[in-house]
Amino acid sequence: MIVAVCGKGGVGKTTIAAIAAKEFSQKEGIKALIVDADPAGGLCMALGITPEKTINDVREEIIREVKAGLRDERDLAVSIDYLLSTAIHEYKNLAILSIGRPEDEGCYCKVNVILKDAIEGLAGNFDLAIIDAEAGIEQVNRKVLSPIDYMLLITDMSVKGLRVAETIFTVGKRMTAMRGAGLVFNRASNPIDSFLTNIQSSIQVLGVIPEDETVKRFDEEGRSFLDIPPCPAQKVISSILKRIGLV
Amino acid sequence: MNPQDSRQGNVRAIFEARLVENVRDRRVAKLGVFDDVLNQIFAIKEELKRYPDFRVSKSGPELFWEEESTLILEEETAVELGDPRAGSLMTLLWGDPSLIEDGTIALAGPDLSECTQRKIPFGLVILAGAQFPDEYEFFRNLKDAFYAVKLKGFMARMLPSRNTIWCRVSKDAILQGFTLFHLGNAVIDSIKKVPGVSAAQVIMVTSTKEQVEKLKTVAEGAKRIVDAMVKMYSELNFDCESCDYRDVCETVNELKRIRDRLRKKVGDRQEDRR
Repeated sequence: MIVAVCGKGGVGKTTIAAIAAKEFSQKEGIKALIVDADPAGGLCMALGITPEKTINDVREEIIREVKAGLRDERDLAVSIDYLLSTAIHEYKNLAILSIGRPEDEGCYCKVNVILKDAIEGLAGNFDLAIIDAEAGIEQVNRKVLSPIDYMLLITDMSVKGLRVAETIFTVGKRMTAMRGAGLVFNRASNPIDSFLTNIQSSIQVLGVIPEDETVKRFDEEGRSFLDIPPCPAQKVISSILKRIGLV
Repeated sequence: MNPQDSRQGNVRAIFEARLVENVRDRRVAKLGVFDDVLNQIFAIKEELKRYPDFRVSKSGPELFWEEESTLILEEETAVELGDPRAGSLMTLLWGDPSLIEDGTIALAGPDLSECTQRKIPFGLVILAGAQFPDEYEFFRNLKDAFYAVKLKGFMARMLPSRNTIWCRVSKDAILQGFTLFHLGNAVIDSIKKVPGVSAAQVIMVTSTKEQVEKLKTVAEGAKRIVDAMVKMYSELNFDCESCDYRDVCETVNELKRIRDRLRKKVGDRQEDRR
């Protein structure tokens, strides 16, 4: 199952993806792929990881190989598998990939297509994959997220956040293979009942994550969310993951 | 160095030179693109035979291992073969079937259960004995056959442009008795399914990075030959003056024969069109 965590910038997608990664790391018998699809690399930072290589570095290496004479498509496919493996950072049962920032503007459609296929193929080897998407709808529009099964839409307690989530949901229905989606309210402060009773959304609400001092402290101190102790936010995230069948 | 060491060194050098000559005399039966490379590989194999941990086994149904595409993460890995820093080589060569010791799987160095370190060097040389009408198509089929090898508890990643292979073997697989001979057997089985192949043999090295590097130097020569051949087939450009592989074609007669055949084929096609 491939799940994309989407939403407006600054609503806490990355923190939720990082806490989800921590949850997966504690489950025996599963292998999870964690993809930091934000070029800023926020998820890796939240997990305390400095990737030695990104997917974009792999793309550039492959382009160099092609320029140096790599022509055979089969060789290209196995080379991409090899180079992707060198970009994986492993932690327990987690394999973490960072998309990186493209430096080269050139058009290498064939490489891009094969790379996308390779990532999909790689995800297929895992029990689950979670993608921390770039803020907004750009990646949904560009079909970067086309193979996802489920969209976890995050919003803060603002109408603007909710509207962006709904837009992503609408575009996602058209541009991805998703079979389901759920809405998560983040950083809710009391009282939240009135907000929830007033909202009108076509997306199923999965849960409300409260403002959490532990999360805030980890964030401020730049500590890895892989080390976060049990706390109210983590408990809600855990129950959401259970609800959508991820753990 | 004392005089005795020096004498022993000379004797060894003479012995090795003779060994190479013997191997060359015995092996080269017909002309093929890799004849020189094969000679060098066989000479290295003869050297490896002198080491106490050199073993040979024959492929057969008793070495069958379940096929499965496996993803192996670091925490479940028992042995990592061919990490780029440890030394890595993978090469796929062919020649006349009479040159190949069919079904032979040779290993120089520790097998998986004997490894004292988690990351070890790995060299994998696959030799196919075959007769075929088209080298390029045959080469592609051979590669596909090798890429198709998937074994339960074994994961391989390859970088053909650098003759590199990087494998992981799971703890479970080793507990269940998986050895490098099972891998060799699966490779031979797969290679022998390629049309035209009548013999296949595998040589594996896990002893030292130096041994792997020695094979790699030889394999790089083979890669230049393959690259020259691929260029000929894919570009159909026979302007030798501007070609980066001119030196290769000048030393490998078989490549000249391929070039002449292709040139004739292209010429015939153009003639037909007219």
